[in-house]
Amino acid sequence: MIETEQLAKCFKAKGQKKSRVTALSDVSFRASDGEITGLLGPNGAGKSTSLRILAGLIRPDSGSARVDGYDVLKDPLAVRRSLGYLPHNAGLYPRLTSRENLVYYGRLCGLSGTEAKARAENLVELLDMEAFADRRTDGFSQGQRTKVALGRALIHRPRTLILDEPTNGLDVMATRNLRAILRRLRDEGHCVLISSHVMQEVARLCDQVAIISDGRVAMTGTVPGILEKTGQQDLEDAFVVAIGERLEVSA
Amino acid sequence: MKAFWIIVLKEIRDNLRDRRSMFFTLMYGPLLLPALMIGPLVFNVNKHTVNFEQPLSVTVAGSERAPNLMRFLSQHNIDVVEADENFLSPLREGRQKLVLEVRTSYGDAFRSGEPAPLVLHYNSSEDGADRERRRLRGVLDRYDEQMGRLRFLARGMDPQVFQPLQISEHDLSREMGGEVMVGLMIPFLLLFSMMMGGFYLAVDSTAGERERLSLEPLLVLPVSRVHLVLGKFTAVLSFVLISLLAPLLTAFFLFNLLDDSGFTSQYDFSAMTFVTAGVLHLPVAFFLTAFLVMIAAFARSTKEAQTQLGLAMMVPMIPFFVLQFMDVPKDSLTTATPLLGQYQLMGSIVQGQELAWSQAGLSMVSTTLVAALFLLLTIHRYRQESLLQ
Repeated sequence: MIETEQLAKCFKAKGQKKSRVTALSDVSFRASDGEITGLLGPNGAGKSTSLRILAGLIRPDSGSARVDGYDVLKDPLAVRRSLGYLPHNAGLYPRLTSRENLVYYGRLCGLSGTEAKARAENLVELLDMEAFADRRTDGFSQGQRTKVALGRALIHRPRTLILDEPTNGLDVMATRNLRAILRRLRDEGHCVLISSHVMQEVARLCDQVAIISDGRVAMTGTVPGILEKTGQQDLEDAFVVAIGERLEVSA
Repeated sequence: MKAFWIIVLKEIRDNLRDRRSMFFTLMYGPLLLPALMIGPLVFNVNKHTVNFEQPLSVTVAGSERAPNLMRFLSQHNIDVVEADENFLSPLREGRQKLVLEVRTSYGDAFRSGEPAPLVLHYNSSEDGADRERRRLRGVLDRYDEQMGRLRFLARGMDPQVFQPLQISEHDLSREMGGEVMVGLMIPFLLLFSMMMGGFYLAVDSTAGERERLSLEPLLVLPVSRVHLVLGKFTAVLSFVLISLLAPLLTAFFLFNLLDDSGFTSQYDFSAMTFVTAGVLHLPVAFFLTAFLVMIAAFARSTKEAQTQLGLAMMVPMIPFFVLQFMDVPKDSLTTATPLLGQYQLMGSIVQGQELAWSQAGLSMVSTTLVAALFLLLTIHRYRQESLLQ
């Protein structure tokens, strides 16, 4: 379960002193257990910033966020323990094998050596990684890398899972596999939050959608709910309307 | 604390699999660098050192004409070997280095008090010929001088009449001569070796991790940033320590290959010198590790870290050059300056001077304190949000 209320965050502009860039101005949404929630928005809308705040990597200037009831500012370690996080373009350790990458993270999450190894074995099976489990990750394909990174996020059986554009760079089959895995996690009762700028992705996968644009959440609801609210047939058109743009320019 | 050890072990394992890094830790600093720095010194000193203790065998043509001289030679550790009839061709062909020829007129000339002719044939293009020639020449000069004195005495004259001056030399300069240069070599070698030994892991585990984008998932884990930085620091430190101890052993071994001579008598190359060097440089291992990790942690990319460290590596070398050309006073301020203090202390230890433990302590404490400051700055860096940008 994730709840955010009026998150706001500014960054210092690079190269210019004193000028600040507003990344988030008003981000409020919730993602419930047993659902896949999509944070849908164009590039630069503030998706990654929101997710990073939830993961405790950056502090909001104002507003609050809770993961499984723990406040990200007051109890960051408890948040991290219940959170699995797959960053945008996650990197792996090239000189460690897939399995070693998983075990390292598992142990840092507090699992014992045997627990971490058993759990890694589980994930190798679950994510269909047998073929490259004991290879060093240097030279892996994007699909293989994403699987290892996803396994890493799941190693400590987190209740809540945050994925930043997880299907980026994946081919059709890998994307379908990932969807199946995420649905399974949802059905097991996990709270899954993904960010994406791909409409079809969100339309196919997500139970709930939060449309984010220019640092604010413009609309939330189920996919049919959003179509109804905007009076559109298609999520893409609905998205354009929701973020306050005019439809004529769109093709 | 468990997380700390997991990080240390992972970084060590990761680095052990990096061949380039291992080359610098295990080959470059411990073997290649000492061999390149100390090897030529040992080779040259040994080549030019004349060792009067070791028996030297010299081929002599016509030794029967100068029995007294032959006795003198053997008293001075020179074994006489009779030359062949044709002794010049083996010399020319390089099969022999040196032949002493006692001319046929030697006996007559000697008896009549005229200069008795001796010829030293040698082939200067042969390795070691010059050294043998200098040694034989030294013994012959002494015989010459002894005979001269005896002749003066026999004629009722004091030989000192022909020695109007007694000249002795006494250098009081505090300028760094060649001797001190050798003293500075050991710290220079250790510094360079340690920097190279820790360089790759320091860059790889900080700037490299950022660049590979594996830092973000790591920072999300329930691990404190202090443990994270200390884990990385300790992993780098373990390789830096190897790069401190191994070249000490190599340097000890190489310096002890030096033949005893006027050169070695100026220095103390005993095991104690190297143990002291190791102890004095332990805080330097902390210092350099913290330095490398800090610079790499603040760099925006691996490339930037490498460039900055490439330049930063000059800094520890500065005292080496400054001390060679300038007369830096040895007071508590310079002793407390990290690296400069170690150079100064090692310079005097290698010259056999007693180590003042108060000075050594001052140097070690101040170096450790600066290392701790670097470490704190790195931890601060790992707490900044901008680390991920």
